[in-house]
Amino acid sequence: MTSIITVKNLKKVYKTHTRKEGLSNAIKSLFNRKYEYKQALKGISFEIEEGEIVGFIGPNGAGKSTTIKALSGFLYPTSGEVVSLGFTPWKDRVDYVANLGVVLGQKAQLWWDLPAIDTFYLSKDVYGIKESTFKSRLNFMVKLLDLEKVMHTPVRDMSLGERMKCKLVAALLHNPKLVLLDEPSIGLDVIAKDKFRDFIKLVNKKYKTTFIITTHDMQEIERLCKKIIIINNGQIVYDGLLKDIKKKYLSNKFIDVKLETKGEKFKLRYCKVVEQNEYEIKIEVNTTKIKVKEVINSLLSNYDVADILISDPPIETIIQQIFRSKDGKV
Amino acid sequence: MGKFSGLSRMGFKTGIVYRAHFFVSLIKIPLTLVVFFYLWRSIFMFSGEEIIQGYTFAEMFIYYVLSMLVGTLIYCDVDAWMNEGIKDGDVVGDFLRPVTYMKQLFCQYFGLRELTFLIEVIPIMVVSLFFLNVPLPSLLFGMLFILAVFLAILLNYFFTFCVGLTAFWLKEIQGIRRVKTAVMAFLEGALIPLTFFPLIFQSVFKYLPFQYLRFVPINIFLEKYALSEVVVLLSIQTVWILIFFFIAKTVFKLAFRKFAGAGI
Amino acid sequence: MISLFKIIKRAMIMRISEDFAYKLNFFIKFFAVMLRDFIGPLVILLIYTTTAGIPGWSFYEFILFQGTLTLVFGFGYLFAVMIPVEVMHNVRTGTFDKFLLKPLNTLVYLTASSFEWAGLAQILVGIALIVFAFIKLNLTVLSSNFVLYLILIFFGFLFQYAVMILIAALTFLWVQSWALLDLFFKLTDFARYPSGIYGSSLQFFLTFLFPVAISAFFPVEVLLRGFNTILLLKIIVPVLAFFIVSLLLWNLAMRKYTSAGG
Repeated sequence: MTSIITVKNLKKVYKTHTRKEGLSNAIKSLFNRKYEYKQALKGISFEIEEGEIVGFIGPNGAGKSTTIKALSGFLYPTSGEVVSLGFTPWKDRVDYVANLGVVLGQKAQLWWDLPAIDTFYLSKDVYGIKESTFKSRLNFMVKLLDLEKVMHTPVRDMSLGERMKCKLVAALLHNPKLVLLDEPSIGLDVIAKDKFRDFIKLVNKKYKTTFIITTHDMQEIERLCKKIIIINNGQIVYDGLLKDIKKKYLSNKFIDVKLETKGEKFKLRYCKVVEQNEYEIKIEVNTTKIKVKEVINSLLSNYDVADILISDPPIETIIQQIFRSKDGKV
Repeated sequence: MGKFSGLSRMGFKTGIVYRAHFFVSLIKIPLTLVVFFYLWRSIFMFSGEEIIQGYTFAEMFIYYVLSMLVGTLIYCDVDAWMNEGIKDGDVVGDFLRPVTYMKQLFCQYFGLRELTFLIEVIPIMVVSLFFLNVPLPSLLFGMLFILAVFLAILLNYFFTFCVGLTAFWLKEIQGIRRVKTAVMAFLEGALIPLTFFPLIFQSVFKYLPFQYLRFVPINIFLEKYALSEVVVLLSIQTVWILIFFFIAKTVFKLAFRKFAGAGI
Repeated sequence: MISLFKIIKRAMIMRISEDFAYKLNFFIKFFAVMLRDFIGPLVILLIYTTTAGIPGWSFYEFILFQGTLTLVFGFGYLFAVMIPVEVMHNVRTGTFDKFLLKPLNTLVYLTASSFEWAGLAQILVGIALIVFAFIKLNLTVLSSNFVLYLILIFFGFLFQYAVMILIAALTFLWVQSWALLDLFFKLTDFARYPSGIYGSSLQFFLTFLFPVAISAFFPVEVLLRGFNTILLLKIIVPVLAFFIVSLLLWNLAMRKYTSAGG
């Protein structure tokens, strides 16, 4: 595996002006503006390898979109280095974006009053895609995403999900090596989300396309990404495999027990009963203090167990824990 | 009035955010005046006459100064707001407020008029009073002028609101708005005083709403009318306001039914 | 180069289909533009029927002037006027990035996707007025004056384009505002009448600093009254200089936009 993106010590400082509310302040700002400096990125470094699907996670204002912009070629950072697909994005913009696909969440990339197919044809000319290649790729994607009919209706009449799918097609038509998806599944329903994810996985497998996805949807991360990068306050707080973070950060496991006959109240050290009724017990186990095996043994010997389910806490909980911890470091 | 003044302040504030607009508008009007000044200076010098179509050169220039002033005061683009709101669906939010749509837009429009008055009209007035030697009318005609301008603000609002209502059917009314702007500038007397038209046109204009937006208020200021004429003109102006008010009310009901029925 | 033409062609087709999404509006807009451009000549007619007119210009000469102006503005309308509008709209809604994500020159792509077909209406009116005046004035197209007239019309368009880029650039550098566009249209008001009516310092401004006199005055002046090399240099150099400055400012603006991150 070779790395497709290398980011070294990337920094970005924004200058913004502020205005307080109220009429008199509105008038004051006509003549005198106060500026504020905001460190959006405090020197981040990471590498991404070809063919990966990477989840890029962080709360609002953490520096996610700044990073995505820098990787898209339309942000001059304050300092630092990015080499992506062999280019410095903001310096070799034109050559670089020829190999790049970008889907920006809710922002309009399709021609609003025209059918999506028109935008696809524009992409064909803009990226100089051969007729035959264009046709076969379009058919492949359109079929998978169920867009055969929809793509002939004006974009303004489409549902959110249809629009998002069309944007994805437009971003992938030229077979880019790298695709950046910024909040792609906002506003999609469950079924649409599923289709969307399956599609990305398929493209990733078939064409070895590298994906970087920013999202708030942790399910999406769990379904799609092996690797995640977590950013907070303009700094990277975690960069590694999803399963590693779980291992490292999971001090708890949940055990759900279903009972054949009624049982007594459960009690064991280092275990917290989350919920218990006649035929069901839900326990949170601190795995650093007691082995899961011990708990199960105790359960099996004391109760008439019908079924046991052991699960990790949802990834949200882990992320929240990371953000809440004082230094924000893992 | 609390609720309304809140809305009108909103219009006021969104206006002031565009500080570039503020500075640019300070030079825009003088620029236009310079063009008209040179145009009429050359025409007057070339023809060698003292008075052309009822105006001396000085009066002609004041005509355009007043035309700018009145035009700025009555400027109304609620039809554009309505078009935007209907196209992107934001109009639903306006329907949810416990104030009628027509009143809401009026308050925002009126708020912007206040702003315009402060930052655009006052500078024009100061400059014209001290540097251009604009002679003031008698107190009576001055009051009548203010009344005529106030009525023109109302007339223009209800007229523009009616134009904006067509957006409920057409969705995009940029074209209609352009026809409106082009024709109105000509018939209001913004490009050339209406006395330059053949007499038969002038007598027709008297019964159309357009000249009441600009030409009539200006000529009241210049005391070109007898008092009895002014009374007649202001009455016709008021009738037009009422006509457009009722058209606006009636058509809005239809528009709302259409909108609610289509459930956009 | 061929692919560039293909992109431009595609974008033009898309712009017209976009206009046709609101068919009625498009035809009304088309009609509105024609109507507006006939109002100018009507005002002139009113002036010439009630006064001696503008010194040095007969009625039909003035119609030729008006026609040329309409034609040049028409080209500007077709190819340039929507550029700042498109930029302002996209900067406000945060979608300008889409222009930067395409693998070609941003300005070329922006121009291609900003065609305004209603400009054709204006061009038609301009041509009609010019033809009318040509017949009335007994002018011939078989002269070096006429060839130069056409070339200067192109420069008139180039100036329009330069100004629109300048406004679009200022949208990033200063603050986005319709006011600038407004101001430009106000400044073009100076081009509506022959430069001869203005004072000398204003004439200097309109020839060298904001060379809007290229929009009609100079082409018609050359057509009707001939030319010499010095006059041509005086006309063309300021326009070219203005164009270059606009391009430089545009590049600066792009640089600023990309470092501010939108």
